[in-house]
Amino acid sequence: MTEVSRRTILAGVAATAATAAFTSVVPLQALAQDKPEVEQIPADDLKAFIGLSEKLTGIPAARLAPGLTSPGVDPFEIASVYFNTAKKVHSFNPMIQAFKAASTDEAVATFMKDPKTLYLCRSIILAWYLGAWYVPETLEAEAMSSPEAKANKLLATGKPAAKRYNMVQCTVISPKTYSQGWVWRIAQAHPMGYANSRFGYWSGKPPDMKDFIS
Amino acid sequence: MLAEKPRLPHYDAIIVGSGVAGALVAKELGRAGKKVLILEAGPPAPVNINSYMRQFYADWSKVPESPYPPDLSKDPSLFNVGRPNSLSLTADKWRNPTKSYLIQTGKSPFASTYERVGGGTAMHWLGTSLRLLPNDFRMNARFGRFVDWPIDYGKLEEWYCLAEREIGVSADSGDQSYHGLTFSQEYPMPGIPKSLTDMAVADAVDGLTVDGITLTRASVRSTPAGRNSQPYQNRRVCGGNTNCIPICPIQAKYDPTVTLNDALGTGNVEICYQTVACRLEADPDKPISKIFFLQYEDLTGGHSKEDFRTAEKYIIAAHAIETPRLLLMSKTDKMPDGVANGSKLVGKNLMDHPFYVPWALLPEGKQVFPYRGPLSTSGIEDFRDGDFRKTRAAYRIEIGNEGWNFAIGGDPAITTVDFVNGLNISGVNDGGIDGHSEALFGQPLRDRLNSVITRQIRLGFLVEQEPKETNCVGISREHVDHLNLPRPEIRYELSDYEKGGLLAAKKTADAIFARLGAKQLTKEPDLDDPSALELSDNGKSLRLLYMGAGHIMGTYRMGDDPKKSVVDSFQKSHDHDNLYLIGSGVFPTAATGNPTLTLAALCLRTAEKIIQSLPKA
Repeated sequence: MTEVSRRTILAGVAATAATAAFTSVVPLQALAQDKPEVEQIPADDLKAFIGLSEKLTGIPAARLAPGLTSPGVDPFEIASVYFNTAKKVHSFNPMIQAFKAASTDEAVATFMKDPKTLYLCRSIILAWYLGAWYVPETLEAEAMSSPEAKANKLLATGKPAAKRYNMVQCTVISPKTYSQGWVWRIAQAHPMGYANSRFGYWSGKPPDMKDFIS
Repeated sequence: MLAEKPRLPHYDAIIVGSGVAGALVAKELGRAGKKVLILEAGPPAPVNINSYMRQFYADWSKVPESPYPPDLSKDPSLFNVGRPNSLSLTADKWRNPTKSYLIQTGKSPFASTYERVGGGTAMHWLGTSLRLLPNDFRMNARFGRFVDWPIDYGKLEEWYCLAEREIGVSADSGDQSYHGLTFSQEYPMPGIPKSLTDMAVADAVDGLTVDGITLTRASVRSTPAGRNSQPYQNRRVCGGNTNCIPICPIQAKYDPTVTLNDALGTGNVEICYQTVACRLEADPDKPISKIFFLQYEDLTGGHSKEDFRTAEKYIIAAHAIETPRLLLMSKTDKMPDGVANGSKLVGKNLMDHPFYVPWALLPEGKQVFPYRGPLSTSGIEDFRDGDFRKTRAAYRIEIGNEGWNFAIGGDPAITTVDFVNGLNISGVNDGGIDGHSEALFGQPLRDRLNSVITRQIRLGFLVEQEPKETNCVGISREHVDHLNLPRPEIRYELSDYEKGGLLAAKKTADAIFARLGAKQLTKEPDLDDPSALELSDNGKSLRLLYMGAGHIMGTYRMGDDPKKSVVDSFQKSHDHDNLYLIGSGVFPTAATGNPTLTLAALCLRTAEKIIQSLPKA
């Protein structure tokens, strides 16, 4: 018994509908009402954003945005949602244009050294992983909250904090993005409240991580 | 939505509250042809669950209250029906009436919450349906502590069987036959399969001796749960959404709307939502003559003039904080202590199960793959009973399937942000140079999160709480809700009895994690955390954090002696012959089992008694 078929992840709703006999239909209905505000994004900008996202997240571009290679199979078009969220940050467009010009690991390393783009990159990673938007300035303030971090700007050294509900402030971008967070698949699990599995699956091991992300 | 007026002037019974207690009694009375009115303070559950699910998905905190109204972030005095919430328990909020609905004036926070919506608090329950143990009903006779219940396990057993059928409990009676538990009927559905975490704990505790008790693999038992292991009551089989709290997306978990719908389907039960009972009218030792209520259109809007209805029987099922609140709000010159309060015990002996939740990282190669399956599928029940109860609290161990989600207040998000942004709120990100936190991206980030999250484990220790009159619910003189009704005022602290239980729990946790080879990450809470407890272990001081279990009990205890209790074993007021106060507020002692199944059993027994006492149609 496979917990989550590769096709289910790849094709989202289409595959889920095909296996509807044992899937959580209710949450999908809950998400169906969640119309994305998709503004027209230049295709090569979006492609650059997805390419950059692949390098930042470690998840193949074809999985982040199945529609890129197979038009029509990506009902959520989540890349556009994150693009439109991130573009409100000033350094976003210059970064995308720079990546378009040189889509290399070196380019990403440069972004990850410049505070103007470092925290934006982290915001983008967290959007893909958690479906939530962490404002770059908030991430910078949190990362720089320890004396060592202040002394050595880019070596972030946050200290343990025991306070409860001490989550770094964020906004869930939409109900849909929560359920599309990649951290759940990296954990070989499913978003809490959004499983597509059979009774008793939890007694067995999940498929390998590569089955969830490649 | 406009609140509907009750259609009749007089009913066989008026019930306040549509949670598990109110819904069960309504259904039984409705089936017996009795005319019933339910007054529900909150709005109805949505026609389908999608709006609750969307609210849950979109909420950043995902706390137990997150799918349900009203808004958690706003001043509770703005709402016609306020409610406590988990986010208002921090140092800066718990004593702040603009953040905390409960006016907390005690030493420590009362850390449990409840809902005021159609279906009540069991909308967000876990589903755990343990029976109480025979000794739980006779703490005084057996251990010389506290009081005995006016009913024993033997008398309640047949009602437990019926409650298990109504709720739809999945369990195996052979597996649950410990500490003197007996079963006259098998559970209606087979047990819920164990998780990989359960199996790892079972392997680890085999042969472990703690406090003179030696555990075996079989000590890890599948927990009886109000979750379907087979299709039941036209509801689906559990899909392992790992979300019983705050909401099951497919209603494989029982919630009281199941029973409420059955009740309404009898054609004899009527419900008015957004209708807040505000006063019972009676003379001392005379029957209740009227119940008054206010109705509102929206949660922050205006309300109707006070109106009333009458009934043969009045049944208050508003849980263990709002029920005493209503009785105390009903005070008059003739009854300055409120209704049903000849004993002066209304609101007293508030209890919970102080909840200790330690967490750890399992060693490399020992993945248990949390965030899969129901939130909890197994527990260790061995420490629920024993002679140690003469001196310190018992506890039960709940094994979590949700990694550190509950333990650290929001994983996997916290661990993810830690490794992306170089923080260490989780405690696990200290593997960089000189123990610094690492900030990763790309494949190293992905692989590290996979490695860490798949090895997360937490345990939970639900500790028995002693009934103390000084832990109590009153009504505030100063603070009101938007209906201008006084808000509940709470005084609460933990006693040495519970602290002894918590210390024993901590030692057991340490021993289990050591056996697992796990790196324990449980941190001492900050000094300013209001839920931090200072304990002393042979002169060595330590600090640990207790949480609320959501098990609100004890504020209108049952007993045979009218001077020492508020209701009798049928949950009938000693003072007013037609008044019933039902739910976990009647529990004289807290034991260690989650209260819902026991209160359901008591309510079914009460319903039969009420039907017998009403004139035949």
